[in-house]
Amino acid sequence: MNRNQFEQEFDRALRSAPEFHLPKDFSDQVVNKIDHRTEIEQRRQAIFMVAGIVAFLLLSAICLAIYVDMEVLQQLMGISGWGVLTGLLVVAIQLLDQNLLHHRRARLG
Amino acid sequence: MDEKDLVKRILEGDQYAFKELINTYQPLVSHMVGRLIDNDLDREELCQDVFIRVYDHLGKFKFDSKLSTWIATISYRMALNFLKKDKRNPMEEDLDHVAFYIGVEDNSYERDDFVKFIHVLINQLPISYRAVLTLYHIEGFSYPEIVEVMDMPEGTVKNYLFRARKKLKELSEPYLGKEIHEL
Repeated sequence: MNRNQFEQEFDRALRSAPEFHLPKDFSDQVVNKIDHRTEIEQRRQAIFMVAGIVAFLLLSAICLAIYVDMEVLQQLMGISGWGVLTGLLVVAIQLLDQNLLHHRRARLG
Repeated sequence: MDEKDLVKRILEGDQYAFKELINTYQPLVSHMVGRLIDNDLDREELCQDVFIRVYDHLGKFKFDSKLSTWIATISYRMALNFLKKDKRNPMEEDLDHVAFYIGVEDNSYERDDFVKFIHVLINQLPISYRAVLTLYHIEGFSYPEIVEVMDMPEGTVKNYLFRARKKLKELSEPYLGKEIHEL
C-alpha cells in the first residue's frame, strides 16, 4: 500500500459512521415517551388540584369550627345558599344560551 | 419543507412533523451519541432523551444557527453530562496520557477490517477528540459550527483534529502491512 492508498483508506475509515443503529420505530418510541410523560404530568396536576381543594375545604371547616360562633355560622350558611342559587341560575342561563341561541344560529347557518 | 415550517408545525402540536424531525436528525444524534457512549442500551436511552430535550426546548430555538448545529450541541452536552455522572468510565481528556489498546498482532488488514480497526482506536480517544472527528468527518460540519457545538476556540478545534488524525495514523501504520513502513 502506498501513501495515497493509505490516505484514502484512512479518510474513508474516518468518514464511516460508528456501528450503532437505532430501532426502526425509534421516532414512535420517542413520541410515546413524551405522551406518557405528559399523561403523568396531567395526572399529577389533577391530584395536586384536588388535594389543594380538599385541604382548603378542610382548613375552612376547622377555622369555622374554632373561631366562628353559631349565629355567624347560620349567616354564612345563608350566604352560601345564595351562592348556590346564583350558581344554579348561571348554569340555567348557560343551558338556555346553548340550546336556544347557539342551536338557532347553527340552523340558520 | 424548510426548518422554520417544520419547527412551526411541531410547536402547533403536529406529531407527524416531530417524527419527521426525528427521522431527519436521527443519524446526527446516533453518530454523536454512538461515538461518545460505549453501551448500546445507554446510547438508545440517551438518543431518546436528546430528542425529548429538543421537543421541550424547541420554542426557545431562535434560528440563530442551523437546526442541525443546535441539535448536535444538545447531543454533545447531554453525552458529556451522562459521562460525568457515569462512574464506570472515568474521562481522560489528555491525548498524551491515553494508553491505546491495539488488540491484534496480525499486521495485514483488509479494507473493512481497517475501518473497524480505526473505529476501535477512535473509541479510545478522549471525548473531545472523538466529537471533533465525528462532527468534521462524518457530519461535515464547518469549523465555526464545531466551535458552536463544543464551545471551544477554533484554534483548539483545529488542534484536536490535527492531533487526533496524527495519533490515529501513527497507531494504524504498523498494522497495514510492510509497505506502510515506506511512508
